[in-house]
Amino acid sequence: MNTSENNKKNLLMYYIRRYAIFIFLFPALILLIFLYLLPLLLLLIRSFYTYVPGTLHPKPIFTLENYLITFRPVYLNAIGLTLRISVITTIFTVILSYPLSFYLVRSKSSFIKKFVMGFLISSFFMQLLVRVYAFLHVYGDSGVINQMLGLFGLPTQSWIGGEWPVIVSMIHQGIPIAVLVQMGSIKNINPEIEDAAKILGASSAQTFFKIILPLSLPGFIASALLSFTGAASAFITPMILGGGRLWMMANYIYFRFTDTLNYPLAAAMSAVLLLLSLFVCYGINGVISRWVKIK
Amino acid sequence: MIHLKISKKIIDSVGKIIVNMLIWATFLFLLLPIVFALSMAFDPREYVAYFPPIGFTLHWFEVFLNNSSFIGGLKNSLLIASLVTVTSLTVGILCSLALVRYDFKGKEFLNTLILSPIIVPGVITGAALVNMLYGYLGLYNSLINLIIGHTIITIPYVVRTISASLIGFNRTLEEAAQVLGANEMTTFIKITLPIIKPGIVAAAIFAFSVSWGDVNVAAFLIDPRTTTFPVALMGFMRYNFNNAIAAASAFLVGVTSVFMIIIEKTIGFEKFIGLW
Repeated sequence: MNTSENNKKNLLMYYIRRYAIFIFLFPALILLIFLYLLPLLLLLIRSFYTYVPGTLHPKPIFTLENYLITFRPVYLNAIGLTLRISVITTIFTVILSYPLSFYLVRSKSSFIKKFVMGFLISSFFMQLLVRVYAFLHVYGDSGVINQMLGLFGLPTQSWIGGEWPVIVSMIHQGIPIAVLVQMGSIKNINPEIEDAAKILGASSAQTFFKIILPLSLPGFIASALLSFTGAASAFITPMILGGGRLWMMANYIYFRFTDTLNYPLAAAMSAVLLLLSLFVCYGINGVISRWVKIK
Repeated sequence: MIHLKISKKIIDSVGKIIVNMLIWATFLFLLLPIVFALSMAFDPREYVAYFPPIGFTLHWFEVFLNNSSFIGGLKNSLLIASLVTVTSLTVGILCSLALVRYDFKGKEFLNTLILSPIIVPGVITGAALVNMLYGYLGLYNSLINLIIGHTIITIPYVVRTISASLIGFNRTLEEAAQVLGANEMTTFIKITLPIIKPGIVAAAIFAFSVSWGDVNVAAFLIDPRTTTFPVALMGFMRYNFNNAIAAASAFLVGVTSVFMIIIEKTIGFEKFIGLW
């Protein structure tokens, strides 16, 4: 009696163990395949549909019209602007984050360090809009920069609408997450390796470029990817700090969809932006790896 | 030789000073704009004015708290972020267990798929989801749609954080428990979960904060009646330019500070950050 019950229980456990992996993966697969991969595919398909003005239901007639529109000069400019702003943002974000991450990993625990960390983590909970609004106070016509210029008797100017307020604000948005990602890989570097290099006669610069930098590569690449895609998909920052004059790809996608209900065109632009950002991500990976290897 | 050593030392120390200056400049760059914005929450002027506030008023807090779209958005965002934390953790923990502890066909592909919502711009995810959920599936409940969308964009953070704590996990403890007669379920609840708890807390904070701050996906999935806090802020800022936004910021920073104290007291910043 007891043994047969035990056998049954064992059999059940056997099956659970055997198929555990399917149970574990089931929710993630459903979510990612049916509600993520499939929608992306459908988006791609819709980008070849024919737009009917005034309705959300485009006709399923194959057309390349949406892509032809996407490659008109206006939108090509937007693509160029998006790439330029995102790449500049990425470069500055990654480089500025690195010393800060290094400091946070290696320095002794202190009140200042805790304050810096607390501030960085709290930035995740701070709304993007709040950070963009903060930069209105920096770059606005009566903002801090113009006040400083006025103080030194220099001519003030209208910064809003230019590219730099957007870039600077995006760097400001990108640094906290970049620091967090870089810290992970810096933490994995054993400080004894540096000591060994120094004992063997390497200068600080040599130790840094030949040992520390290559070892912190994964964090470097991950932070670059995060800040690039963050910048490439931003539409709030250019909308507000661009004063209505800076239109990046994400702005057009959002606008075409919400204001003119032109989903096929928004889809075609999404496809182009997706392709570009995958391409750049692939490039970032390659460039950073090779650059560090040569050093 | 001695000469060379001295110049090396000078270069080293000059380099260190420059690096230190860069660190503090970066930190001030992060901090100061926020300080400017926060101080303006108490400024009595009716327009976005010169930086130092000229007086003190709580008027803007009143405007903020009396704005129904802010308060409605705040409620929705809290609800969505909390539910997303639960769904994302459930899916993420199960998936991390499979990814770290089992070998199977297509593991690399799955890994890439799970991390891809970080690489794919949020606007595209939003545009794809609105077509799928409203168009093909006929799901018109934007609250549910927002939860689905946010679960997808938070999954990569959760899986990465929890995988990291599972990789550094000493499995002899689990084996010991099982030798002593505990079954898989008991072992998981009594041994595995408590050990990876810091990872779970960190993942929960990531999931919550990503959902809480998302505009790119939410902008597509909201409907006129259901909005989230960031989207409400965006709508407000498009048409009004006054310091109510600063008051909203100050309010958020206050709430965030409480969060920070909880994080520091429960897992500590250093552990939290080291887990990524």
